[in-house]
Amino acid sequence: MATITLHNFNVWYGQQHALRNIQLTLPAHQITAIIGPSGCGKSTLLKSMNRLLDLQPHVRTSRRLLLDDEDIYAPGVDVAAVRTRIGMLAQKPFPLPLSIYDNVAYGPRIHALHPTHQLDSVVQAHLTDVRLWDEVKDRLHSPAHRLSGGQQQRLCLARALSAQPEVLLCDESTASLDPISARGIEDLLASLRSAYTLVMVTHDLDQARRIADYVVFLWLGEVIEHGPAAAFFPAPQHSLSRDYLARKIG
Amino acid sequence: MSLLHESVQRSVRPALVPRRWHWRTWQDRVGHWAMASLAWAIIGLLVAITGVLVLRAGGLLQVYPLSAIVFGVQWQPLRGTFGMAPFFVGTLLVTAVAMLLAVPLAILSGIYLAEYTRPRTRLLLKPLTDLLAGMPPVVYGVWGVLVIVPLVRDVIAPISTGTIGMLVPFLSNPRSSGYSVMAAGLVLSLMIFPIITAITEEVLRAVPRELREAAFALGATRWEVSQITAFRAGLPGIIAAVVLGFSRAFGETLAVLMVVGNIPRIPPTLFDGSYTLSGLIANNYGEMMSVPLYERALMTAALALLAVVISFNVGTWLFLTRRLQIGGSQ
Amino acid sequence: MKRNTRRHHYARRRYVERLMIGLMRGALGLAALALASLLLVILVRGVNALSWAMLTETPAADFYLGGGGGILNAIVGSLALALGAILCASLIAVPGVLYMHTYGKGTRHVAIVRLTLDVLWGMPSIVFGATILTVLLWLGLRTSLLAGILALTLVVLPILARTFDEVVRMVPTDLTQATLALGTTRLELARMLLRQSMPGLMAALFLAFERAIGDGAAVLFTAGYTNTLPRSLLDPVASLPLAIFFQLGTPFPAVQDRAYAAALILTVLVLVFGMFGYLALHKLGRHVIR
Repeated sequence: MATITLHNFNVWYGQQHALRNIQLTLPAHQITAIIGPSGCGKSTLLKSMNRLLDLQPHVRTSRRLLLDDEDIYAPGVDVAAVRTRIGMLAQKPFPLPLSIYDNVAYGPRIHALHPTHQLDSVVQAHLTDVRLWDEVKDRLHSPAHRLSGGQQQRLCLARALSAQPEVLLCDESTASLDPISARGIEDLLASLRSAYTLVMVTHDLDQARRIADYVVFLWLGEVIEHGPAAAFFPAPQHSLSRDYLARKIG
Repeated sequence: MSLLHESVQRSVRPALVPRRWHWRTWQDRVGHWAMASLAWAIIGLLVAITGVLVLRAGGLLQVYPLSAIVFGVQWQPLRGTFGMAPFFVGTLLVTAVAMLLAVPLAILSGIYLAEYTRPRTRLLLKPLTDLLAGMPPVVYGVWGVLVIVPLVRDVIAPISTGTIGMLVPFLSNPRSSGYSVMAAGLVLSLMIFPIITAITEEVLRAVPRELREAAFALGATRWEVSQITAFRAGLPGIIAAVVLGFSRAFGETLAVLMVVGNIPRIPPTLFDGSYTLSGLIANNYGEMMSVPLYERALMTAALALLAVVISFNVGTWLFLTRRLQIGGSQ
Repeated sequence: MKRNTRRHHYARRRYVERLMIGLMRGALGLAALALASLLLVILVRGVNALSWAMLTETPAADFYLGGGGGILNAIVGSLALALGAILCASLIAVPGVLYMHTYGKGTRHVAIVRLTLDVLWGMPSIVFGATILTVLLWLGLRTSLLAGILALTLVVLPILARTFDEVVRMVPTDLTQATLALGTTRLELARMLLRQSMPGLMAALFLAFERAIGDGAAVLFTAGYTNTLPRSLLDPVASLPLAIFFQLGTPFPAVQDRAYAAALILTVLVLVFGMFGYLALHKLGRHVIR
């Protein structure tokens, strides 16, 4: 499976206590939406799940963050293996400085996932899945940065999936796109839930309503409320969640 | 074939805690080790250079006390007197003239390029500093011989002698040959001008736009805004630029050698010939083997150059990292 | 009364503004004038003595007395010295700088490496030359192309490394994150950073080349000088800066004229490589994300 469990998880930036005692289980093969006002720690929570947090100076974490039953912060853990199994789709599309083809082939190549002669068909399959194949099949070897924003984000999705992750983290992955491209990405993400555990940070409550199966509401670094979307949206338990859903705060 | 809608058969699921090192891990470890040792090698180079010079110069310091070398005014290697004061004074004077001329002008030019010009104008002006920065020292030397030396001899020295020289004897020399501290300072000032200008401009360009806009919003003039960006936000970078310019002027060899006159005495006026530490080393390399301790004396001069440059750079670094909490790892 | 002082105040600020603009324009104008006179003098004096033989022949026996021949030995020598130095320096600088942005990022070690590079950048090249000479004497070797390359490597290393360092620093953190998020090792990240900063590296290489070819003080003791073309790494070799310096030092006007021609050749070489560097930065890099 691919369940992410956080036990008493804390993050400090220097003196600032950014995440406090997070106690969560994110269900496998579902879409979990992390919602909350800006600066509440949504991105921090997401980036701690694939240890991109390590890149920031003066960061400390405590207690455990489990992928199935293994702690990804345990000593001896290979960070590259963590990030291989937990993929990410960033907020802004950012293609690697390679061709379109090589962007998708990058993960399979470095992880040696397929025999070389299969690579072409793997790339084609992934580009087809993100509905990019027809638009780029004639210029697979042209630079990826010449694509439009929406195309780039679909390419980034194909690139993330071709590395065969079990979990996919999405950091407001539709926020920087135009509405139509955003909807396209959203539909793609919704269709992924059968095969991947998806964790998405979103500002867009309507989006969370549309595709989330499970919701986590963060407020000032603390989990205020979490539960299945079907229960959370109609009847939030906590007054802060009610206010946030009613857009009185945040 | 679609990979999305069915559960994907993953060909590998890498263990989080690897039981044995994978080929990629080996590559990573070897890469880490190799690249780290190259980075250490850079530090090693500086240590080795210092070590070599200290070893060679040490011999002279065993025979003569440091004070005799630094303050002695007699440079007569054939008689065994190695007083280097003329070279220290010459180097300092030449550097001082160059810095006094170049630093204010270069900082002003950098501010102008960063704060006053439109992108179009900058495209026209930028090659000016780039071209100047790229010119080889020896070409500056040729220019010095052809233009600056006659200029000092025929224009600057007579004018100075006739005006300010009446009050300050140091600036008065009616019979200047042109090959002088002044000529070397002028040539050096043009050499370090583009360095300081270019870095100042880059530093100011990196100052956040918000700071500039905030100042403009209070009704500040461009110059008042520039004072904030240059002398508050950009100060560490500008200090670094000045230190680099200083290092360049202090140690420049060929360009100075060609115009400074190379007379080993403390110059009575700015329009007299002098001699620098770097020139001393460069000019005597051919004959140094024959005289005892001569080579060691030259290595002492090299060590002096090295010591000044290191202490200036480290001093600035400490000042900037400790006082202003910037720089260092940046 | 109060309005009056205020008006004076504004007038004073406007006056200061105009004064400073005048000063700045004056400073730049002065520099432009100096550059113009430099280029003009080198061009006018150099063109006179410039001939095909200057570019294609090695010096004849009586060259330094005004005889025939050219400075091909110095041109070839300078190119060989600069190329060798760039090669050696980039072997240290490129991996070293990538280390500073991957494995070593943010450590004290890297801060000290940067400081060392800044110190080396400010070091007079004559010091490098003197040090290498001392080592040569210890080893009982004479001046050679190899020794000249080593001395120039020391000159060029900090320039190359610090310029490349700034280039890699400009790589967006998004690229680092996007790469690492795919489960890459830091070595693979280093490769990706190199790819993204390739045009900047090329520009840094050309800048370093420009500096290497123009530096005379470092090769003065180490490369020696000869009238023949270099045949091996252990032969002494001529260089353009020293050709200019030595010829200008002779008492014969004809030879001095050839120094000006050599200066013109050196200037043109430097300008050409500077131009390549500019083009590298702006026209290269098909895949680079801008």
